[in-house]
Amino acid sequence: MRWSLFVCLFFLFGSGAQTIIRASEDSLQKSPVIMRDKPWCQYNAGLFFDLNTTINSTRLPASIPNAFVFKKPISPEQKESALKNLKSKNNTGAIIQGTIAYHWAPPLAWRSKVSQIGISYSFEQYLSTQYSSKLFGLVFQGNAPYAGQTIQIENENIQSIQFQTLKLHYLKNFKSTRLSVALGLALGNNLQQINLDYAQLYTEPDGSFIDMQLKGNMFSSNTQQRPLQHASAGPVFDLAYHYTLQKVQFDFQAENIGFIRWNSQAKTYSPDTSIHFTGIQVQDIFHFSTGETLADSTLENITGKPSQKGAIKALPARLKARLFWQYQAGAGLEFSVSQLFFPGFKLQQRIAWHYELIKTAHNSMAIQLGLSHGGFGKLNSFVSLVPLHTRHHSVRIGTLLNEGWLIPKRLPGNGFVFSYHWTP
Amino acid sequence: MKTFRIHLFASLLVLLYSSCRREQHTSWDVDLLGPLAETSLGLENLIADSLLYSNTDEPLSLRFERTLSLFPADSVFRIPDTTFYQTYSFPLAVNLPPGFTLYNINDQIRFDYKNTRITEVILQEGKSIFTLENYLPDKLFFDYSIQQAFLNGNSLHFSGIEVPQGAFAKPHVYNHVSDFSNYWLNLKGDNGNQFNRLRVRLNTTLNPNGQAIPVPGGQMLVAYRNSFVGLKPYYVKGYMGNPVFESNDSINFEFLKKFEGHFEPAEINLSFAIENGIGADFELLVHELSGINSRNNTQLALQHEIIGKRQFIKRARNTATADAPFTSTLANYTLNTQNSNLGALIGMLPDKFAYKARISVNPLGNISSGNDFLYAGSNIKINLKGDIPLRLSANSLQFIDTITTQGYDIKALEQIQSGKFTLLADNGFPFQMQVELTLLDENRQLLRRFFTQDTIEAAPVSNNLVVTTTKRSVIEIPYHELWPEQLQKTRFLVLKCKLSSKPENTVLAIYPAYKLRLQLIGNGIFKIKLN
Repeated sequence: MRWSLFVCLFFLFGSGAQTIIRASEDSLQKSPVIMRDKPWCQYNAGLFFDLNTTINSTRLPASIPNAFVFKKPISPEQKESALKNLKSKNNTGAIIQGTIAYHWAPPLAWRSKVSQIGISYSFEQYLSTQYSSKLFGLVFQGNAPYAGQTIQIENENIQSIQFQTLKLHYLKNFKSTRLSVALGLALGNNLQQINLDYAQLYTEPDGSFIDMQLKGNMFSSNTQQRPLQHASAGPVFDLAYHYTLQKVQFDFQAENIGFIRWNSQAKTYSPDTSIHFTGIQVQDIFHFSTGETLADSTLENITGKPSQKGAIKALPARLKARLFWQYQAGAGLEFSVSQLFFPGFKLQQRIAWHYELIKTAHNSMAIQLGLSHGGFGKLNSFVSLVPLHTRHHSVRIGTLLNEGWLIPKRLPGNGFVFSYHWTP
Repeated sequence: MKTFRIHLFASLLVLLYSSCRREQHTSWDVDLLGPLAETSLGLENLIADSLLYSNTDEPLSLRFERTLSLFPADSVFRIPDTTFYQTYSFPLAVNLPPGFTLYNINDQIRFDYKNTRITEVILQEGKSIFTLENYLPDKLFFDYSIQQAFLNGNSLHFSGIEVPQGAFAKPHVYNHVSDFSNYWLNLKGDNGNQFNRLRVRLNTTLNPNGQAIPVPGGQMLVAYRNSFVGLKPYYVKGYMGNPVFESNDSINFEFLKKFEGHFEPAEINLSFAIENGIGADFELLVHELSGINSRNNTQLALQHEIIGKRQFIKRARNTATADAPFTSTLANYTLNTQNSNLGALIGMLPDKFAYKARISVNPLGNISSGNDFLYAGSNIKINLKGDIPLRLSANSLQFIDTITTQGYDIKALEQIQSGKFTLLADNGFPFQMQVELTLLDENRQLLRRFFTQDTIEAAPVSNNLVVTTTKRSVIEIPYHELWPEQLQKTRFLVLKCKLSSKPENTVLAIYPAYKLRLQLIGNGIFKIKLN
């Protein structure tokens, strides 16, 4: 079923994580086609909605993260296949972003200073983990297969952040350039950071003891992940610059420059422990309970007692530069580099070919095909489609990072994008 | 074309959503191995610490000490509550003039209790309640005294007390309560050679300033009541009589109820001391002392020279000092495996000792000429001391304990797919153990039995019969999918452990360092579920 779904989506819509679709042979400003992550200075006034997810990895087949996303069981074969694929160090990351925005032309009296004003709300979640195949094996296979062996792991990290932003945007047009800035408030929902500097695990073959060493630190905002339950807050700032020279377009944008001050409920653990575990100590075997309290105290022996205080943590900011060349009517090439300042994300380079498939007096349809390198993964392809584009409505839908959709048991990377733009 | 694309898009969204909804949990199986729980059991887990005694490097001893008071002091020579009541009336109609002496009592009241002859009492507490009922329509005056009741050298006396007027139909009732704490009562009577006697004087006169009162014949004029309540002596002197107390009782040893079977203690020493704290001789006759095993309804009588033989215990000595007013006399007896069948008696693991005995006070009569005495702290006590060095030979000695519980709701068990638990038992005792654990529901119906065929091997002993190293036994318990439900329903856990000496029929000492270490290890496929 999922394979059929993928084929349908691929051939009918296509997708692209960082897609720019060009459907007009006129100037770029006249192009009506939505570009999901184009700077604010390219937006036309109206309502904008965008939802996209990306899951990618250097080595982990997509079937494993898919099981988490779609709440499915992970089979022993999937684990075996993943373990074969993994290397000593691996990286997996995921991004979920949802944005709704509205922008409009200001009153005439203001237009000498401001060309457009906008307001946007977005929900963003980032997850990234850097891990060894040994850690993966321990987590997904258990410790029994490693009995009698000393498992040593180093520099294993997991970080996850979930926040919302509310921004006000100001845009100014110049002769061939546009500049926009946005200021707003970031509302933190959840932040978890686990940095395992060093860990060692030995399980006695008969199971009579487990020796464990653990050194690292953990930060937990200790808040529930309901989107409207804001634990903490901080300022956020965006900047975008756009330059057009005949058939060449250049953009630069900086997003989510800011921080969140997580409130005093946050806990920091700094375990540096060595434990010889022989079981939960039962003092009175004749009147024992289920031992949950004992289990809790045993866990606290491992992690140590947390310190509880607030902390300032930077938001996952993103810098991006993009160059678009319309080499002929209805066709163009795009080159971009971007960097997300989030652990595990490598500088991402992208190249994409844009082609207008259909053009009528009232509608047009365009496709985009491309390759990307970096990010949370390595080399990936992507494809997306604008199936509907009229004077007032524009829809873009598709998958992202096609390899994970195509061969999920072996290759990493998949995602989904949907956006809609309404112009009055 | 536009409509088709919108419909296609909507269909695919529905398809995508429905494909996401089919599974509720991300889950995977892991193969886990590791220790879950451990405990170390010593003899102190079975027997209260207060009963165990040990010196370093010496075998443990089972020691106990009990003191039995044969009777509470105030039940023997207490002064019973006593009330005296008299009324006054004329058989014929008369006219009573002012100041007429109505009532003049000068009586000796008598405190009798069995055949005791008490001559002196110092009271710890108690009270005298004096009540006068005036039926006359004028006030009365009265004097009251107990001349042989002294407090700090002064006798009890009050005079000229006015009782307001009453009526023939409804008297005025006057009450006066005297606290008798610390009073010294001389009960020798007027001549000083009597006992249990106390003279009371009461004189009642009509209002001397009133008028003559005509009273009909037979009309009650005055009623007098004097109650002595709660007289608790601190000291009693006299002749205590010769009461006889029959005792037919038992002493329970609850912790021994958990054992069944037979063992042979190598040595037992039981001593008991009879302490006479009263100033009167007494005689003890122990008819019978038996050990009773209520689990198998067996009983064995003690065979010792004390049984059936009268023991005469001389009276305590009256030192009359504030700190220790008397010195008890003691009679000591020793029982051991040489002079009695105590070994067999203890070996049958009695959980109760029943005894029948008779105590006779002053069996030779009043040989003290009325100089018996009793203090508040006096009693006849039996101090029982037992010392059983835990050097024994056990043959199928069984420990049984039933533990009540509200059930065990162990959610993690439900995630076990397959596997087993392993019990590692490192035995430091020179006893082989056969353990059985039974789960019973609220109706005591069997839910599951564990360890039915498993044996924990005994630790080996050296030439001098001391354990030098533990012996490990491995017991495997395959997991069963019904466990979670059965553990949840469990209301009673019955633990049985059958002990047998190894080598067999060998007397082995138990040292404080002997422990049984139990470790539970889990090994199996466990399903990780994420919500």
